[in-house]
Amino acid sequence: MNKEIYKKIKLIGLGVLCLASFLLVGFMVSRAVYYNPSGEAELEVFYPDQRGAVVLADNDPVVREEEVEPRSEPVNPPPATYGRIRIPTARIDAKIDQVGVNTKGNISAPKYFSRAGWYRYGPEPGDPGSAIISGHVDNGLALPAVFWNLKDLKVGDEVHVERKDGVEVSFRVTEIKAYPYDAPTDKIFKKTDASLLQLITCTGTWIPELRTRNQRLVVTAEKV
Amino acid sequence: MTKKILFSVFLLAFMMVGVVAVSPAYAQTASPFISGCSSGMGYSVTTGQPCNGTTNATLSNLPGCSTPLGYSVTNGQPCSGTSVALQVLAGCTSMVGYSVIDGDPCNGTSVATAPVVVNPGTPIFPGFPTTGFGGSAPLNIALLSFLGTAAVLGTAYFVRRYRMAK
Repeated sequence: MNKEIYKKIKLIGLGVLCLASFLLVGFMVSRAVYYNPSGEAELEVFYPDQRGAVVLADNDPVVREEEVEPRSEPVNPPPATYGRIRIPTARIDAKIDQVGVNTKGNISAPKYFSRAGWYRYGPEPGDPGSAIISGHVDNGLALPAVFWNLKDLKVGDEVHVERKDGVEVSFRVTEIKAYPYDAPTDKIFKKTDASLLQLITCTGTWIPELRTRNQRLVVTAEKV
Repeated sequence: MTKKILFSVFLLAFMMVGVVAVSPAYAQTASPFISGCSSGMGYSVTTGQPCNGTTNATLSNLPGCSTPLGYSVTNGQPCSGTSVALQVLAGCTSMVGYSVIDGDPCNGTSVATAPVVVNPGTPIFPGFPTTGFGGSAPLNIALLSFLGTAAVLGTAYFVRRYRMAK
């Protein structure tokens, strides 16, 4: 009798372990593919009274109020595919999604580790100003993500961006620099008449309590 | 018995009135104002009647009020023109946009607060994105391999057992 009970307990235990293994495998695989941390939800619409809102080039915080037509739906479309980025020397060839601002007032990170994200509140690549495209350096398993090789870029390398309208714009890298993760970005995302592309990814060392790396690698490229 | 029932009905009615009176207006789903009004100011857009429920409409902000929202800084009375103080206009869920009842700006002013519309070439400067994870890739791969093996072996064991039982 005791032997029977022992056998049943062993069987149930084995079943639970098997199920837990499946669940953990699923969880780990999802972490390798999809990025969705708590507290970093993207704002559906970017309102002026939230942190990280409009700051013009002279650094004066501005709460902009405008006459707008009454509307019943969000102004900004949901994140969608934007185009494609190709950097031959870094072996990067990836889709670009649109990203906005998260609840922390930072640029949202792309949802997929294999894709880059174009900051949709800024200029488009090739237009005057700094177009910003970010991408993950590694995924939830610390394996290489889309911008893993960004650190290998050198001044003079070419970057090609295919925009949503199908136009391909080429850029040449002019500067590669790392900044602290919390550096004010007004000086980095330059206001200029030139058409710049700025590629961003994480670099430096991991800060466990903040769950982020301590630096951001910013590659600036100018339209050719 | 009849008295008790009447008393209960009155008590219930009194409690309901009390709850409605103290509820903040923004928590209500239906407008507490006359049809076609988002506050007690002005006229109804549907009936043309004064929104304050009297024969004379309140057309300008009350003393001590700069909008129909909140309370007067001079006399502490609700700025809405009625006994209900508003945090956002009826028909609004935030200070941004327009009331779905009468189309008035939800911030109580004559100009609606709009989501930011960035003009080309006018950059805005949010913080850097979080684009990396820490951790050890070899350790994660080892863990994933171990768990995967355990899951496969466990399933194989149960399948074999099921077949043998048959």
